[in-house]
Amino acid sequence: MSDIGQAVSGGMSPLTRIRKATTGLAVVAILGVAAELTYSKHWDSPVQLIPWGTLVVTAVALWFGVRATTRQRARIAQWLVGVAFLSSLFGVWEHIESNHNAGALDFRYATTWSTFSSSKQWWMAISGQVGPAPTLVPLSMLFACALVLITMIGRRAEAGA
Amino acid sequence: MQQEPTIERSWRKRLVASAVMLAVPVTVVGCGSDSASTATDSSSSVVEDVESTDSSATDTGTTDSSATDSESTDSSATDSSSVDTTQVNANSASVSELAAAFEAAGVPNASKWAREVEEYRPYSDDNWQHLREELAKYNIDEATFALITSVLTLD
Repeated sequence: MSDIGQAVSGGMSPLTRIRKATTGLAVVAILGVAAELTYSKHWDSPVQLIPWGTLVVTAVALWFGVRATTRQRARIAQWLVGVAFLSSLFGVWEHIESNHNAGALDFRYATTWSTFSSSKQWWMAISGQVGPAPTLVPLSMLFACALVLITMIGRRAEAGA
Repeated sequence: MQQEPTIERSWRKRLVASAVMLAVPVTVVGCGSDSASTATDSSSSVVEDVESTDSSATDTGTTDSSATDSESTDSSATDSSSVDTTQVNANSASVSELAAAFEAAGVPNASKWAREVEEYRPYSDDNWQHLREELAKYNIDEATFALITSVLTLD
């Protein structure tokens, strides 16, 4: 590596730099989802509180992952982010299903919704063309979980070393 | 020393795989959202159709301030057959009661709208502004909204 490269990277290995970058992105993603949930007042029902819990679990997983100095901590972080990942998948499904159920209520498709094929209806629900639930938000939660997972690449092996 | 290049290749592969997995769903959903904007161009004709068939029904209940209790009120301003427009409490009626009232008033997809009205409680005396904002997410047309609010009461 050149002297300039050494200075810019601070002598950190590529893996360390990428971990720091993905950690930062994960924090931004978590805060972004929290802001969106707050803006949309996502607390009208018990089911709507699930993503809040998922955010907390993701944040805790990230904290454990960043400080995974032992195999146990690394394992805890991986389990937590796994739970958060599954919860986010549930959120994606909930939003898509909610949009699908609302398809017939949209005045643009009130008389034609039932004539659409099943695949077209589900595609419109997935892409947010009908319904009130933005599918990008739970996908952003999945994105945050994936980032946390990336930060943990190789940590168990390092912790066990 | 020999191990380092192997580890480096390993996490590089994982990073690339992770990036692809992240990019694909976001791109797919994002492109789908773009195509949604073109669908709004065809909205006006649907609104006109709905308004022309339901215009007589919008006269019921909107200006009648005396119908504050839950007794049935005959509505002679609607179509030729007499229709009971039972008023129900927006904050306390059950989903089935809401659905029945909507059905009687001629609201399409009455049971689905009843679930949505029940979901966004409570309602205050704001001229149904809160309800309007919530139901707007479903792209409800003005005629259907007027039918829904015509059978709702806060008393």
